[in-house]
Amino acid sequence: MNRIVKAALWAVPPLVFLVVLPLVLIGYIPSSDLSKASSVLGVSITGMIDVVVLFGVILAVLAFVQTWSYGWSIVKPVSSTVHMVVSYTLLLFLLGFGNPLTFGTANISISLSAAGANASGVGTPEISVVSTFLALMVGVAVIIKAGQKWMKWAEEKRFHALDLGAGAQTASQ
Amino acid sequence: MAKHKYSREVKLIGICVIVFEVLSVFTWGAAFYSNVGTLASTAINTVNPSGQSVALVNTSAGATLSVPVKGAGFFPVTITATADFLNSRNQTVAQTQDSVTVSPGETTNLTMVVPSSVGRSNSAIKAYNISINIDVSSVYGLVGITAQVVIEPSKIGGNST
Repeated sequence: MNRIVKAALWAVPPLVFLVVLPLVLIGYIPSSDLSKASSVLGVSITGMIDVVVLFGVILAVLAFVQTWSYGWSIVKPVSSTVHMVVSYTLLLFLLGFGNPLTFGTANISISLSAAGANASGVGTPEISVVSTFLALMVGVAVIIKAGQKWMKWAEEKRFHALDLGAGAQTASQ
Repeated sequence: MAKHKYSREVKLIGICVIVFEVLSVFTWGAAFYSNVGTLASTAINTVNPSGQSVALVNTSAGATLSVPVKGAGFFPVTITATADFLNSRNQTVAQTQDSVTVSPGETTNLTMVVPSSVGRSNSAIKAYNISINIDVSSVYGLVGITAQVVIEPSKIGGNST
């Protein structure tokens, strides 16, 4: 398959799942419901969707570049590593409910008055969902996988040098 | 151009990473399910048949509140409940806390004793608010849910002691 066609195909999944799908789904939700959900949860839902879309575009570009580049080129391991780091940041962003710096902990303050509940005498409930385990394990996997990509690149570079040497020998005979 | 194969190390690392990632996601999902299941069973046990929540302060000082906690899912779950009795300046004047670890299917009581310094008598400290904190965690605290709310005693069926 043509390299550019293959690269374009690899850019499709991030565009579909992180750009098209969120924008289509959010289009079905009335804006009044979205603003109410944002005020109840204290987080801008549309802002979060915008960030996910931005991540989708970046990941699509990186997926294109890493598939398009030659295995022996330095572009390949660099783009693969950046792709994994960006994917990991997206995971932390989603687990942290908009804040990747919490390392997998989503801190949510629920505004009862914004939800329309009788909140007299009750403070703002604060809920934390801790997913540090997943953040930690995926982080370890990303480090190992990045190392493997660089090992692959080193081998590809050696294969390429061998191919070039064999090509030059054939030409001289 | 000859077709080259990657070394065994590279292939092995690739397979191991995939297995590691799949296992991690399954473990996280199972731990999360255990936490939610245990929390749900505790919440059901905390509400009496009339639908009113168990009153933590509808009792005199020294009274004991016991809530059965039933472990659910696949992992042992640690559940910690803390109630801070706050004065008018939101400073903690007394605290009661208990923590239990339950294995799946096992039932243990979470017992909280109303501090002797808080009560209805004139000499007792008046608690204007109670800060309730429920922490459910498993896998060494790396997967969990924490909920905290500051509430007036009257809102949970008690008097403003």
